[in-house]
Amino acid sequence: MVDFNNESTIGTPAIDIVRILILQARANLFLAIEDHHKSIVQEGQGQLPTIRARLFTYFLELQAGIKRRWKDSELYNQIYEEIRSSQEIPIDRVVEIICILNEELDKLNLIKIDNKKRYDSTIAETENIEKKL
Amino acid sequence: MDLPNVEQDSEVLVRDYENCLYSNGLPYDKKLQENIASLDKRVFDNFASMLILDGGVGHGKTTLAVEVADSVNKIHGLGKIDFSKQLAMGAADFLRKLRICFEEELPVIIYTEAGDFNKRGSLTKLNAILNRTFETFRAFKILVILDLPSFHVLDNDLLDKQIPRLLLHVSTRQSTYGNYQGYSLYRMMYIKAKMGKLIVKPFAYELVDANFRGHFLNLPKDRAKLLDKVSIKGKLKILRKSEIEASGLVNYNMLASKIEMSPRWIKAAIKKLKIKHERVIDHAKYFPDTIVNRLIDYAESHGEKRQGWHK
Repeated sequence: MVDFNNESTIGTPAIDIVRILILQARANLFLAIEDHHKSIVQEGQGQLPTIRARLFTYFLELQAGIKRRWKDSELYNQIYEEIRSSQEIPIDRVVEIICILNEELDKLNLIKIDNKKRYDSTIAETENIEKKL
Repeated sequence: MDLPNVEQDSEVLVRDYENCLYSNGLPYDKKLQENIASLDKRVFDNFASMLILDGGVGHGKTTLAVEVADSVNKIHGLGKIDFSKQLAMGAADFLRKLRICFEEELPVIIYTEAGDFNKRGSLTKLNAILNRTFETFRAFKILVILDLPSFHVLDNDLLDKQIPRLLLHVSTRQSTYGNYQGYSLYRMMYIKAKMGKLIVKPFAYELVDANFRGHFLNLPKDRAKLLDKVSIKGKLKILRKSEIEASGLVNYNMLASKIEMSPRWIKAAIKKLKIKHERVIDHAKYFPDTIVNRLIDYAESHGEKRQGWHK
């Protein structure tokens, strides 16, 4: 849990903390998927209940923003219902939902890493301008 | 350092050694031409711009500077550069020719050090001139090509003002061609920072990727000869000055400065004392500096007040 009285968080805007919480929930979900696959390969029972639980937490972190961005669409209602009654959700559907949410996070620039502008670096003046010199 | 990779120009150029041109009609490749055109555009848009050429002695800095200046002239519909107007050797010559270039609407000037940097204090002088010049002459729309052994000698202040826009580092000259690496101002700042920490300064060029690299051909023989003639003339002038300094000769102005009397008084005193000059250089009489004490004694015996008129 985040300690909002801690020295490192007291001067941090809430939006930054929420961003980190979302990414942390996502990372936890990925770890659970990894453990699940490891368990299956080792002929175990898998970790599907953990995956479902972590997907639920992850979705809750994003829920308000997703609802607003998707404007109560059919897709939102469908995913919301699936995750809410997540005892039955299969692993393939979990992956599908993760992909949908990934695209949304990409649009929010939360996981977009290829945002560096490309320019012709063989023209020195173009580089100078791009670097605001 | 996170920098994009250098993209090599895929165009294969054929060298015509006889005419000293590539198949693109230039003495260097197309990429450099594109870079020069972008610098020229910047000057035309009323921004101060300077192209720096650096490299060891004899690596072809002045050759490439002349070739680049020729192509800038060509962009503006002019012929090859006039060495007597667009090639300056030393600070005083630069300021004089910069004015000529402005008056005659010439788009480019080369400032070659020609040994100027060997003099103590010349770097400070150069930096001061460049700083002042670019503040004053920005609107003159002239591209300045600075040719010096290492751009490390330039003030950080000049880089902070973002005046040098492109650095061409010339290296490993062959008998028929030379090699260069081009760096943007952005990369120049990295090179300068690295040079500050390195003992072997030129190694800094290995640590920063060039924006582009290429080759340039020699100047045609007749033009190279002419350039040599101009260059040697400039160097001889500097050599003569150094010779004068080393042999301890002084002229009227130097004596005036040392004795703190006016040159007119010095001239009259020398005439009165019947002191003969030792040499005449560029129409100026030079005397041995041993006459300083004689002149001081003469001034004191005549009750002259040395007031430091020149200060």
